Amino acid sequence: MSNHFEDPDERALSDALNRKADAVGETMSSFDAVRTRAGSVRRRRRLVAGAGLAAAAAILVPIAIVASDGQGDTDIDTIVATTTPSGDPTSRSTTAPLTTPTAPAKAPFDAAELPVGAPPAIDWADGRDIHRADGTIAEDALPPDTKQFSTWGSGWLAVIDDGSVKEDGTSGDRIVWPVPEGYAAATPVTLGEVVGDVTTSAGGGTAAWVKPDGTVQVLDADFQVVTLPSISSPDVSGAVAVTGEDCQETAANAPGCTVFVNTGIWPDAGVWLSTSRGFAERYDEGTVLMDTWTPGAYAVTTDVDELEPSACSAVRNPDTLSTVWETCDYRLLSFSPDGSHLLAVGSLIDNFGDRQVALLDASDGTVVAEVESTDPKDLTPAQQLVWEDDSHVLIVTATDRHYAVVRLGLDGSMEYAVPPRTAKDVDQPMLAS
Amino acid sequence: MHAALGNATGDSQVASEPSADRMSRRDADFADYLHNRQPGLLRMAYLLTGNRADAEDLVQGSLAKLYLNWDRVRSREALDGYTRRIIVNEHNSLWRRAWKRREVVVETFAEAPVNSKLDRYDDGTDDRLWSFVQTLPRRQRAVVVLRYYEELTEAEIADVLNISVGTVKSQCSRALAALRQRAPRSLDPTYDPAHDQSPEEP
Repeated sequence: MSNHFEDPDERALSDALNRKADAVGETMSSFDAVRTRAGSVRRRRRLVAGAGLAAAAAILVPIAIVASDGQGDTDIDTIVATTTPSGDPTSRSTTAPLTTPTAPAKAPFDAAELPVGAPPAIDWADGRDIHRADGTIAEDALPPDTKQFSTWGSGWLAVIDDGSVKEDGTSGDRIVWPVPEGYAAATPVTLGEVVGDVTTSAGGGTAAWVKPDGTVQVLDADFQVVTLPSISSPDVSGAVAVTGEDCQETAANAPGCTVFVNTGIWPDAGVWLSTSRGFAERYDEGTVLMDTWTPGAYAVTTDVDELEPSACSAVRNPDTLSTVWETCDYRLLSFSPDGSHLLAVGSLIDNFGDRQVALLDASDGTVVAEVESTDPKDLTPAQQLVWEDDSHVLIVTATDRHYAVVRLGLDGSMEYAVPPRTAKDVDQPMLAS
Repeated sequence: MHAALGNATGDSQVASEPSADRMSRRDADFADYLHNRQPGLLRMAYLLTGNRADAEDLVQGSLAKLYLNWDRVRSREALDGYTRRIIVNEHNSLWRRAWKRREVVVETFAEAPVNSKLDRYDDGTDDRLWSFVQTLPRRQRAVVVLRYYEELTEAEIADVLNISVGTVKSQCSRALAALRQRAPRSLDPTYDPAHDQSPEEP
């Protein structure tokens, strides 16, 4: 098989793909099988549409009640807040309404002409250089091919993947580099095969991960790897949060640490925890999304439509495991540092970046600010979203070898934290998580 | 090539046909497309998923969605692009990614077709390249498959994936850079390393 590529590597790649594809054979679905599957898709869509109507009805009822009390001019936001008090989450338990309150008008997410504001107040990386929040730059501080990096004590923790696939089909080793002064002086720690990402604690002193066999491990501030009780679920999908900074419980009455791990495949997904207190147990149904844990509340996936694909999410009370509010319009990404707001994106997922970004009131899901990218060719949508402080998020956008970091405030304001510029090589910036 | 979606086919004859006949003709058209294009779509899906079972499931689910939208695709020329887009979007489901990303299944096929010219040079390069492709992030893998298997132009890939041409270029560039970093100097089956040093040698 030949192709028109002149570059030998491109030609070899094309030939290899053609040979692999040709070896697949010609097993085919029959017309009847496809039509039956289409019927299944159609039924599922009707169910989703029905759920939407039910949600609308749930909101309309309180409107009627409030109107009869002579408060007909009360807006829907107020009504929802009135009918879904956040002070006592347990009172709403399983009957929590789908919270899709009337949002402020969506602003177009157009990063073409924005005022330039202050640089990011968190560390961010441009290639291997780290721009500190104080404006100084640590050149070549990150190892090549860094996949993610986090603040770590007074320095950073870089995570790389060796990129290999072993003969048995498993992934290669994950390696973390504590880089207090830059990676040239650092000693890497090889974790072996890791499922999902490496997650770090809010204080930046604990990193946690899980291995395919359910082994839960943490790296503490002294660069010691500590093994916690294993998860006995046969299908772990990643460590998603770690709380606590002292997994070795070195101090008297130390609170220790707890690692939360997603397990299973929907609809059998669940959350497990493993603690330095010496036990691991199943904690909740559903799947905790990344970094959606804060004291007093956490977020889970409550329903997944794999065909569309989209999902519903809910905020729950960790003490009672009761649902505080739920939405099928947004996917919940992370709580603000003070826990008062949630960063969210549209519920539909296409893996090409999120075009819709919303900031929600964490107590009831009310939309506080929302932007949406409408021109797919003009601006590549959000590639990374991180809270900068309690009232601002930073959004990495990238297009055609240019990138920008946009700051979105709770008041809906937008400005450049990093104006559009040519990326070093073809990398886009990374924000410290 | 955004598929032109509308409410009608624009064919007045179709509009005047009895409903049953129209459905029959619609199904016949779809069945023809299924018969002619499914093998090719399955091969593309296999390159995206890395194993045959997932590829078959992906293609069937995508064709089901195509069937539901069959009457809304005005231009039959746009069908392939539209179907490719459904397949890629289906494959990019966050949930499949999150839950299946560690299930990297590397299949081998005993019935690989014989190609006398290229098999002469098959020294495991294909497997190395295949392993490499499976390590790519999904977006990059989709771009690589559309570029180097489907041999679409950068503009066509941008249309199918609804991204900019620049993003297509950067994804291809990034994938090739990684390939060159991880693989031997040249992976071209016809590349003879001795040729550079001694042109006279066979």
